[in-house]
Amino acid sequence: MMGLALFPPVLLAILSLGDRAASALGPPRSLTERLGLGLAAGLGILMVSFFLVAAAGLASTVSAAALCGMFLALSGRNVRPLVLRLVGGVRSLERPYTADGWAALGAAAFAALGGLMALAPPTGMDAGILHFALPKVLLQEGRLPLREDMATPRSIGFTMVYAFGMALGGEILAKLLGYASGVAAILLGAAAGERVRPGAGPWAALALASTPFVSAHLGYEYLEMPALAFTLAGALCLLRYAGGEGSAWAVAAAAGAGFAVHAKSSAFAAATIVPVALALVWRRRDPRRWAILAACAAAFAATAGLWGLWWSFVYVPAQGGTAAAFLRDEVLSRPGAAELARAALRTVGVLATAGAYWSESCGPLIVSGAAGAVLFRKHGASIAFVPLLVLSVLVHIAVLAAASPLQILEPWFQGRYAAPAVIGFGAPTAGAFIHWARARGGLLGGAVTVAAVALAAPLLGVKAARTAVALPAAAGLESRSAYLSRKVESFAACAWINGLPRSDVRVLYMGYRPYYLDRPYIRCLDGTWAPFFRDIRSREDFLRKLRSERVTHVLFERPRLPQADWLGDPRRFFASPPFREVGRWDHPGGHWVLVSEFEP
Amino acid sequence: MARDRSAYGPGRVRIGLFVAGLAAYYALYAAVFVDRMKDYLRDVERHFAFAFPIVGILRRLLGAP
Repeated sequence: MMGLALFPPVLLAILSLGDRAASALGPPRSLTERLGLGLAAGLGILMVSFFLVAAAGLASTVSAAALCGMFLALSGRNVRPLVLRLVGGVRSLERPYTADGWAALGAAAFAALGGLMALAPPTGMDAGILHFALPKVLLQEGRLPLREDMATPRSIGFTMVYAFGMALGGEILAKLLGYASGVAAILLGAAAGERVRPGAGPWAALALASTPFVSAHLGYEYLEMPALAFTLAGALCLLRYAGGEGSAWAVAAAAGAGFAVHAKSSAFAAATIVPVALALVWRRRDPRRWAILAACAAAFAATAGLWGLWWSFVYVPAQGGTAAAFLRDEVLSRPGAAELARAALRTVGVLATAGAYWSESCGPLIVSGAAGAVLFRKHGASIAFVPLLVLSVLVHIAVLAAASPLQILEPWFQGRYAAPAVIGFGAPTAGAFIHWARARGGLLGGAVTVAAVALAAPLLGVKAARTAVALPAAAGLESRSAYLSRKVESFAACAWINGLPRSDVRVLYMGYRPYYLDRPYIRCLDGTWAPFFRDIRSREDFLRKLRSERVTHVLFERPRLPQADWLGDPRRFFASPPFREVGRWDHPGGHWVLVSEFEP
Repeated sequence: MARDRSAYGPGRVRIGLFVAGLAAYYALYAAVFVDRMKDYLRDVERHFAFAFPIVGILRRLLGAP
């Protein structure tokens, strides 16, 4: 409840500062644009600020509260007019008895369901492994963890906002701040659509919210929504600069792209905004051209580059190496041309249809909307962002193909990592195309309307069903532990360890989601594949290391990957001396989790 | 002098091709989506079958074994 109660004032502080920063560049055209840009700017400033606080070893509830106070102090005078404008905007809402109104209502329904989901405890796999696990350890240690078992560099970025929320009001406030970035994305999609074609905003919002990617992640504690929101903020700023407004908008576009890359480094395709912004600045022939180009580059470096600096000069040296040596160790054999071509095709296929999961897709409306805009451009359809969309996909594939020998980038060679750029650039175009086609009427208008509804309706149903699963926990009718015991296989085992009366408990966590564990642990994702086992060749090596690390318990979860030979059958291994099985949890589908006490 | 084609609107062939392409694309997408959704519902059913029997019914409707 505390997280929910703190959400309005904390959000107002973030929004107020962001609004002040964005409004300094130029007046917004609408309340939608003002709120979207204000939220994105505020969350971006918060993300980078708390990253610096954490890197300095000062992360705590006190520093989070101080940061929030600082935000209010810097924008205190903006709060009252902003609230009055918000109230005025809500009062002036019209009843949606038009098709455009229903489209806006559809987008709002996705947002509302996402908001309810955000109130339930976190259950996401990646959140339990990284995005929420890292902030929890960060706040326990007071600084960014430099342990190799935390994989900190992979999960840094918007997790800093999650850490800020967790420090102030717990996991629900952290989830709600992530949800706010999703709302910002919808608002920015509408605002960008409106700029591409007046009146297209509601359709752009619906096209964006009804993509499987957005509808699945809205209210979920991943990094996808923030990356999308910052991409859209950059795209909107770019549009304003291209529309003839001041050079500050080009700099803001570069900063938006930088925030997107900082939020989720695998969303690097969003950086395509930067060369386009530089090209536009070059073409405008402003007498201060070189200064503006330098400012754009500096804005991108100051937002996206911080992560790289920290990784190169703090994290890697703490592991006892250098960035160059680390990259050299990561080099694998270069894949052949056929293999790269298959990977490129798979990327496009995932974006256009679906990946391993239905939620990875950008959906058919974005692609067909962009295709329609190109096909009918001579008849008045706008292709505003289509070149940027195509370029971002090419950049995503080209960068990964060039860097493919690096093992660390291998998982990024999947379509969904380009989705923030594809949806960010595609939704405003698709929305504008739908609006244009509907204005023409006839077969084209009807077919496009059916295409929009045929995608949105089932996905709204899926979103409603998922929200219904989370609703009892979100409403407080089901306890956190009862909900998580059903959703997360290892939760009951973690809760059992948390309840042990011993104070010296130290766990070797050979499973997936250590977020739920409150005791000190060493994380070994997927068992013996983890760095912990790098120098272990036998059972004796393993036992020796457990003793030297003062491990008292081992949690082992049914692995996905094959394990080291010396482990044999893990269930037998961890039931034989010097281990004593003290708990075992079997789940439907053959999943199991065991906890063993280690008696050295 | 070049004519402003936007004043005349797209021809029937162009519209027909686009609509046919759109329908084919949606059919392909629906097939992939339903396939992935079956996997997803199997996962959901594993956790919630007892509380949400509708998930099991949905899976059968989608043709899951």
